[in-house]
Amino acid sequence: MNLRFIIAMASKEFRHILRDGQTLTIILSLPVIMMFLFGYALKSEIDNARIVLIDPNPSPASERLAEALDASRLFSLVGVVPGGNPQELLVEYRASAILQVEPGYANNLQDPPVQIGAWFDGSDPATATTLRNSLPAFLRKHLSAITGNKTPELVSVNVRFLFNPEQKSALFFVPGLMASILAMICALLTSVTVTKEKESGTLANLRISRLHSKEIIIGKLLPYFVIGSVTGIFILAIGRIAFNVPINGSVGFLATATAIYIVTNLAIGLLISTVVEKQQHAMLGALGITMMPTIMLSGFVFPIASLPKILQYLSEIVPATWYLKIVRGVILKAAESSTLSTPILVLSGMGFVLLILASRRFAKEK
Amino acid sequence: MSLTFSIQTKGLTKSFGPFTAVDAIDVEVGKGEIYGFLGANGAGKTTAMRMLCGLLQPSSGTGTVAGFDILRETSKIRTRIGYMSQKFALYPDLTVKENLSLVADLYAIPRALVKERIAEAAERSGIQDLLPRRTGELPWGWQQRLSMACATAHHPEILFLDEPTGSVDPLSRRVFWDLIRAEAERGTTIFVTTHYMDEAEYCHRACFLVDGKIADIGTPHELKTRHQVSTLQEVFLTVAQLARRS
Repeated sequence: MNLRFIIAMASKEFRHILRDGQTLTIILSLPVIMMFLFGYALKSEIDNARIVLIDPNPSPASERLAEALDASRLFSLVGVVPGGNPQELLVEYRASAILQVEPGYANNLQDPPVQIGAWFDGSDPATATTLRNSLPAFLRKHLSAITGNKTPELVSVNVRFLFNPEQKSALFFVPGLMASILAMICALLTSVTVTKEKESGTLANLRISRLHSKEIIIGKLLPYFVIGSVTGIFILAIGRIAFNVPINGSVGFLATATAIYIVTNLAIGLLISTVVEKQQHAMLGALGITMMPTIMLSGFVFPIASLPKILQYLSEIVPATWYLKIVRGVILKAAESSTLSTPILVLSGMGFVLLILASRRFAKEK
Repeated sequence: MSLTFSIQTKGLTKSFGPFTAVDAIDVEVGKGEIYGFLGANGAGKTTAMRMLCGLLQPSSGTGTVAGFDILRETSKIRTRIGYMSQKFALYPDLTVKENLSLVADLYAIPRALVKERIAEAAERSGIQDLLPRRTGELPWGWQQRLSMACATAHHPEILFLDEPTGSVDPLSRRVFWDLIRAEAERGTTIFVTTHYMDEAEYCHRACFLVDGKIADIGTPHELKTRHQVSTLQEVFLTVAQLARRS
């Protein structure tokens, strides 16, 4: 293995990528567009979202707040309690949000800021995000109206998201998009870029040079590994910033699993390129083999349990199925790392086998 | 194994299923010779060349290129040959200089020599003023010169040219052949396939391939005398009559 060869290949490949503005734009904007499409398109228009008010010291002022909440078409006040654990209250009242005013709420109105605590049910990210945006505005408007105080310092809303790991729908789209966008970028780009060199005849030049096929593969795929990794970080960052999806579990474990998943998809892309001769075929092949199963069969859109038996078996050979288990497990911390050992072993096995298979075919093909 | 020959094959054969593309050919190419491999499309020229370059495993037969076995020592062969395919096979989005630097890396030209070699290869092909240009925006003839510079930057012993003049105008072809002859004068063995018989006249020796078999071989003069014609075009038409494939 000669480092100079690999660096030469990789830097050439980076140049191709950087000089192809259109493709680069698509690669970079795809995660953003998909994230916001899924994040907001799935957002139901909130209508009578169930809210519980914790009011430790009922006063005329806090009762007016309760009335205002109930009167709004957006919210529905399903309970006023003197205290309690917000997480338990969410479950007990099947509420989307818990609001808590301080015991001195009435006095604070004269002496702002008014502190209000808000807990949202993060397992329904669409509603939670909308509520997070609309509740503070609603509170500010209400308080301004009754006090006549228009300063922004009037109210300070302390927002927190609560997760209910028992809910299977929890935060489904960030892990799902992570799996499908990575599959798409890695497998598709790899298969297309290798097939392109086949079409143009430059691959024959590379094979005839002093490079071993391993060096061609590593140099060629390295840039796409980097792109995949950056995209993964990008998706998680958008998830964190725009949709409040924190990584509760081990970041190291998630990074390792993601690296394995990326390599698996690079191998799939390489394998496709050893079968087809034309870029269009590579593209269709990559979409068919990675995107479709990742969206349909991995449990991203349809729960696996709801699939027909035969598709359930089929879902087991989709790498994304196992990767999705890991991402959901780590992000929601619904699972300890030890319970994720099966998915990561299966994923590693798949990646290893595919990589060997693809490299062998690539080396043989001349 | 004789070292007086750059290329030597015995019974070299390549079959694809029932189809025998190259049928037991014996070839001997001397050092510094311009050896033309002539034939109609589908006669097996490219297949034979790909076997010699180590791009294709022969079905049977043996051979040596630059003194190394084409079955077992392909990696050693690859360091000693240059190859230019019939398609333009450089990267259009890279500059002329970047394409040359890539080749320098891929053939492990010592780092200290890279700059000098690139300049020298560019100079020989007359593209020294085009180094910063994007390859894709150059006219075909200049791209072809760059291909030549890339194929020879590492000073190969043998240069394989697979229909290098594709579909160019006669003037560009002529200019390109000047480059080929200059390369041969430096001692490089040239193995070139073509179906242009005017080009064949430039070869030291020509080998006519018909249906994967060698139909005739000799210097242009010998061939014309033997067939009692005045041009290689006529020689080609005579031997090609035997063809059943095309």
